[in-house]
Amino acid sequence: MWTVVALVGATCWTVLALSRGESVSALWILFAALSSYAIAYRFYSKFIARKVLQVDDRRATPAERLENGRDFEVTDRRVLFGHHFAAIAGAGPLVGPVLAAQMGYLPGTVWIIVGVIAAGAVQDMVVLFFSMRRNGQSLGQMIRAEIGVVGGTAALIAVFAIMIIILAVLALIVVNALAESPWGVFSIALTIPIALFMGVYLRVLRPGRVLEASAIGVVALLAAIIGGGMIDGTALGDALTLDKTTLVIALVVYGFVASVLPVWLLLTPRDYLSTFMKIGVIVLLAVGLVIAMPVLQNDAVSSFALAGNGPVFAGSLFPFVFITIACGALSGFHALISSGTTPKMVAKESQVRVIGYGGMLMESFVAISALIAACILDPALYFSMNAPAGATGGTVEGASAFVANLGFSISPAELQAAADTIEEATLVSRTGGAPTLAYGISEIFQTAFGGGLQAFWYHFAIMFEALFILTAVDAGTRVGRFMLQDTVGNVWKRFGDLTWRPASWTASAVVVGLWGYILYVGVTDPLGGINQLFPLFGIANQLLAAIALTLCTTLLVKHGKLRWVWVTGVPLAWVLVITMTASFQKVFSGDPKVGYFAQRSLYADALDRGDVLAPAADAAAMEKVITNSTVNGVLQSLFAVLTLVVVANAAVVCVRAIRAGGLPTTEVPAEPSRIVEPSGFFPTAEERALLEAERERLAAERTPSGQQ
Amino acid sequence: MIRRWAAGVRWWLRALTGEDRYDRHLAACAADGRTPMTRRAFERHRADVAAAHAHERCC
Repeated sequence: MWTVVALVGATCWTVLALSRGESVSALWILFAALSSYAIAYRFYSKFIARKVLQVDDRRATPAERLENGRDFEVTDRRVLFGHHFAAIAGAGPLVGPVLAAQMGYLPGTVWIIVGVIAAGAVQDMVVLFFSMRRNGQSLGQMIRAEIGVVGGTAALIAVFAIMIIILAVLALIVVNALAESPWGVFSIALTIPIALFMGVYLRVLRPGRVLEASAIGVVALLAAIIGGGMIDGTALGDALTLDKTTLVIALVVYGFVASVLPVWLLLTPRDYLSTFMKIGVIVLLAVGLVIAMPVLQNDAVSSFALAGNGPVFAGSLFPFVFITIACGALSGFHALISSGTTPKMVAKESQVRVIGYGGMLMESFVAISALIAACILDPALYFSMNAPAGATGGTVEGASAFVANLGFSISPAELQAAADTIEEATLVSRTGGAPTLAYGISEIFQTAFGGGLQAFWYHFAIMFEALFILTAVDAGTRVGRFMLQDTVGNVWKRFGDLTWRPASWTASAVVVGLWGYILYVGVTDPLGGINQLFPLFGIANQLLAAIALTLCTTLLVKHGKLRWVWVTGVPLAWVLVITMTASFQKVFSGDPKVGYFAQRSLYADALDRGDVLAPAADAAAMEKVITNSTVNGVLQSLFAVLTLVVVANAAVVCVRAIRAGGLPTTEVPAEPSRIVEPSGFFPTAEERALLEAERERLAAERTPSGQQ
Repeated sequence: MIRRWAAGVRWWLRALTGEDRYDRHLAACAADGRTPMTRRAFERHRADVAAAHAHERCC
């Protein structure tokens, strides 16, 4: 059977590699991905589990040893897979591939598939394993304990700062998708009362009936999308046509309120909705793609890939494809979830394979689907949507002229017609990835399911992206608040008390203020927020991956597994090369489109001369560009330096460990396990027999012999 | 066959959302001979526990 899978995979890859200039079906990408995942899961992840990590099912996991019914709890592997997947996957894998489509379909496809197999899924699985062997310690705690205080402190600051950037960029995507779109604003705004109703339902009306409440919520959500289509042209529609600055204020206020409201009222019910939408959308997208069988419209490798002058984001294929697509290929943020929450619930050590590696493969599949959705669009439309307003002037005529310069042709009337099919005012310069993806998805679903519902599908897609993002923003703000309270609590004990209102409100306000500021910077940037901030987001996420992989590599060395150190060492080297090259270019490049400081001096010099450089309209906009590029440049350098501190600290530890032939670690000593659980999704015949024997043993225990 | 699948999906969703927790609480109480909490009190307690924990969601 594996020979067949390998053959299918090889055929798909060959077609993708050799087709040039003819129409290529998107299904080649889909099946290349699926067969590669299957082979990697079957062979590589098994190799890592057995040889490298040496998982041992006779050893009790922290869930078994420390079970307390709260955070430590033996959880069925299929359920834990769902929890873990819901926690790692969100809007990230949907957006990055869409932006990277400017380089053509091939670079993104190769990086998503190779990246996840060799780096992303490996990171998630190995971090999960090491954290599980340490009673579910967090990434920061492990770095502190295994690498040192310097590295640990640098990692803590890096994690906090990176989270702020991630939240800001996610929020920016929502703002860009909802600006001037009353339909979008209406349906997203309604998610709040819907979630509140679900919260009250679950607390007061019918406690604990989550499935009922979620069903009501999903139906209400769909009704909200349909209702949104009717408000255009009404007074309500006009009132909900909001500009970006208003949306920023609304989001910041929302973020603060959401983080101080009781969790049961808003956060938990919204999370249920988001999880159900996540599962539903993935299934729908996979089915839709197979039925619609769309054809890729863009080149395999576009001219921007080598020249590095693409309008969506500046920089050439290397390193910027690897930065732009983070989630879906390699995402450092996952290391925070693979340590901390999930490891405390794993029933059997061998299950790190299905949960860590398998969960990440699933996210990668989402990323591949998003890439396809972007690549089936006419490139002229794609660039009209994704070029910053400074380039297109925000008008259909401007956009048509701009893409003609790039060598694509679309008439103003065609651009307007495209916007009309989804009942939006315009599609020009709707940057951020979400509108592009939504448009692509609406085309796929329209072809697959028919019915003239393209406008509905577009707003459906916008809705779920916004829902994922708002859930991430709520949760991220809370996590940031906990981190801040914990850190300040070391100095001022009272502040660390999570139930003390003044502390939690202040900490929430600080976190919201920080991401709100960056969001504001992005929204008002005359050069276009996404193309300025998205690289910062991608680099930040990959730097976090570098930190996590550094920890994994150090631990392999300390455990004396020098022979296998390449398993995490090679991805680490790769991610260091791409992030440091990208950071170096963003900080030191003389090209003002790429380098933040070159950009700063270009505008500062012009301002000194009294000139105004396009796309800035006046001196105030010039000042804004100068401030923004300085802020971005400083953050960029800070992240890179913090990562290098962790790596340097780890290098010292590794050298010491190699000299000593291994060093003691904080791994918890083995205790025998008493439970029986299968390793993979489907139990093997052998496991089934063991489970049966266990069931009989338990039944025999429950019926004392006297009563028989 | 379809019924088995549907039951499986329902079991999975109930476990994923934690809806089955109360049933497990009842079963555990019955096994130990303890008096179970009311569903309202149980869910409230569960929400309080959740509130004290950071809840991570990635991008």
